[in-house]
Amino acid sequence: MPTSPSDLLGDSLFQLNLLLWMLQPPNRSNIRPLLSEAGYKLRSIEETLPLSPALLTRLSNAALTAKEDAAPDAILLNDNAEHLLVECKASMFGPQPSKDGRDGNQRQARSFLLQTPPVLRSALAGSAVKGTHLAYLTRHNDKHDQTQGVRALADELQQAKLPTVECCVWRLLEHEGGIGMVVPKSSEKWPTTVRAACKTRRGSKAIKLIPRDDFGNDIRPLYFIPWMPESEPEHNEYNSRAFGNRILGAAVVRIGRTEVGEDAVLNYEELLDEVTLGVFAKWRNKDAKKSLRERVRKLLADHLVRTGALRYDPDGSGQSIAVKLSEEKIKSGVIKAFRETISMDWDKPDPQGKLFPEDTGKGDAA
Amino acid sequence: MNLASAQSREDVVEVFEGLSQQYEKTDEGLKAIRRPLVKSYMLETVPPQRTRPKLADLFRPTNHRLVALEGDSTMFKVQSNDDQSFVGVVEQLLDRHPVYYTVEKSDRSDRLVTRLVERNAELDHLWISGRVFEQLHQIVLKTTPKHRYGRLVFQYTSLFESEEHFADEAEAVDTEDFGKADEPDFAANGDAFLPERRATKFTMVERLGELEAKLPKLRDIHRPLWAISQLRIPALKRGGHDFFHHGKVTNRSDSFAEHRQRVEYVLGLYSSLTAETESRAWTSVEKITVKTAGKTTPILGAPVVLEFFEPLTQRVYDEFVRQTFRYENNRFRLWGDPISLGPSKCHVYAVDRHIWQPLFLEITTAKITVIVPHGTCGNSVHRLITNVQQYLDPAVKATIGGIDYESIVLDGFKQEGGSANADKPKRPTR
Repeated sequence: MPTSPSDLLGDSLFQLNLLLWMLQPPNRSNIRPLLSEAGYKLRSIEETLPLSPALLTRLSNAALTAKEDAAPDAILLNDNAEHLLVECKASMFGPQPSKDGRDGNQRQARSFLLQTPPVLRSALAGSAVKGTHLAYLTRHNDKHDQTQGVRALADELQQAKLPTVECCVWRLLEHEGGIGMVVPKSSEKWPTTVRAACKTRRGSKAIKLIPRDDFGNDIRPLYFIPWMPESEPEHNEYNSRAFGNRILGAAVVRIGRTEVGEDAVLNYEELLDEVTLGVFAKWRNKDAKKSLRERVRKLLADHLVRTGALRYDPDGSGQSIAVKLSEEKIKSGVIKAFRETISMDWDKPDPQGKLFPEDTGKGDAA
Repeated sequence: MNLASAQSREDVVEVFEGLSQQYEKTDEGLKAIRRPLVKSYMLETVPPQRTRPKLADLFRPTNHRLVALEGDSTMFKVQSNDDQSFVGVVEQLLDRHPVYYTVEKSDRSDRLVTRLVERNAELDHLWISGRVFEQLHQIVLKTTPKHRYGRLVFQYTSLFESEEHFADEAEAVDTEDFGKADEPDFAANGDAFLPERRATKFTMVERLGELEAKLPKLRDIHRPLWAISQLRIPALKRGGHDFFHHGKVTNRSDSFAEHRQRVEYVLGLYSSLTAETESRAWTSVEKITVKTAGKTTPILGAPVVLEFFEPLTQRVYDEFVRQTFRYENNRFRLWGDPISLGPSKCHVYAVDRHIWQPLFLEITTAKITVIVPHGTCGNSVHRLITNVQQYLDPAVKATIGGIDYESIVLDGFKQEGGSANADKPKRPTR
């Protein structure tokens, strides 16, 4: 399984979890708590920032489009109510839409750039906001200026007399066998405290975030969040297993707490919501959500079928499954079965469509 | 007067006081009275954020009912529904901590308490690690005359140094050791396979002055002496109160009232420690929420890191991971499917089977890093540290959110007036 550090850099799920580790208070793990040292704490993940009608009107008058309800991957803040919006990207983008016309990155970026303190305060329902900054976390690419796209978008907004926030790009790279962050250039507009925390030895081009592992192990840390919407263009074995194990673990918690003689009800949406720390519920892609719920259903069904436990759809909606824990050995058998190593492809969309019908009746006899 | 006829708390205390008397004066002097000892089992329920289960509901799965005492809402007699006998008394001594008192023989009472915990997801034993025992020992040294005798039991078994070849999983049974100090892990008959591995299990009874002088030096040369599993708090007169790492306490004094008082004291210290642990593990994320449909949900926990004094050998690492997550009744009572990240690292998104709560573990040969999700009881941390000390590394160093566990223990004890002057014991050096 070990993945090389360079392969992790463009994985936005890894990026987000690294960000969360950087926000931990100083501890004895290997990861540099850089953002904690800079005085930041995490306010929220995927918090929607609605644009006001006034702002939308001004954008429309300027013939510019922005995402009306963008949600940065993370919002950080310090004790002075200075907020930092952070968005993780596998790669940065230019100011123009892609060749196929997709402009999601540009519209999202405009929305973030517009989050000056008054705008952000309004979006956060009046929370105190003394300052705002925007940062993109991405894989370092020295072949081009990775800030060019977002700076051009900021210029465009400013020309339309729309104030914008300062923006910077945090670039991850393989560093001394581990993972580091490229030190900021003097011209780059980083938050002051983050820049101060990034002081390095003279001549060093990066600060170490995760040191090399001398034993050949994969250096990624435990994941706080095992899944984000559209977080990986390619299937990733670790992400898949971690996500699946978290789902099965959440199911086991429910089964373990259910008394023998009662039915344990496993609601797919609840499991997904719990495991993704609420992010799944906020996801707006209904078709993709449905597909993921279906895959969770199949994951649980594939494990339950090995037990012979009676199961049924408690309300006929196909949204959950109830397992009859009629005896202690049934209960312990289910818990044991959920421990079996899951298929690495469990979360891949079924290319042939819906091969497996939802459970609407009783399962196999015990 | 016996438990069956006891109508009030005072009656119960009178019963236990009568049974507590260890000696009687005879013409030949003091003579020991042989009778069953009063045992107390300190238990723990859920954190304040969750609804505390009713005492009666806890005993129902073991087919016992509670009988109220006159004018008392926190102490109840426990009656078996099988034969109507009164087996003991339960008291909600502290908010989160019921205590079960009994004079039944240990093999019966241990079994009942084990079943109670197994059948209630919201109930757990107390888990007193060697680090906590060490602080209690320091308190004993400071508050008890040096000529008195102290009693310590050290227990460490390097469980994962040998491969355990079980014919089937049923053989890998977790034997909870409720004071059966001499009972081996496997049947000690000539036909059974007895694996060779490092193990320390002995009792030290010595004057407190001698213990204070010699134990630190002994620890420098034999690290398992950090793994205290039992400790006696001397009684005011003679004898004492023997505390076990599972939360059982045996009254070997002449007074039940004094015994209960000592139990309450230790429970108060432990409760403060648990609250302090949860506060530190959760504090860094108190203000961190994910807003979901109008509901704010705290999400993260600061990491708990257990660093081994020396790196585990590859064999011990491999066996620890294999045995812990292959066998259902493993020592650590953890459920999970390890994701290997290389020869000496794995991630386990696990579940604590004691209380059915999630725990996320990164295990390497150097350390175990644990993410304790908000809402997972701090007792889980104490249990993990206790088990790591007893079965993996007796000199393990624990930090919670970057704070030394020993400091947290000291802080927790200070809040209870426990050890304002207690010193941090000198850690072993590499």
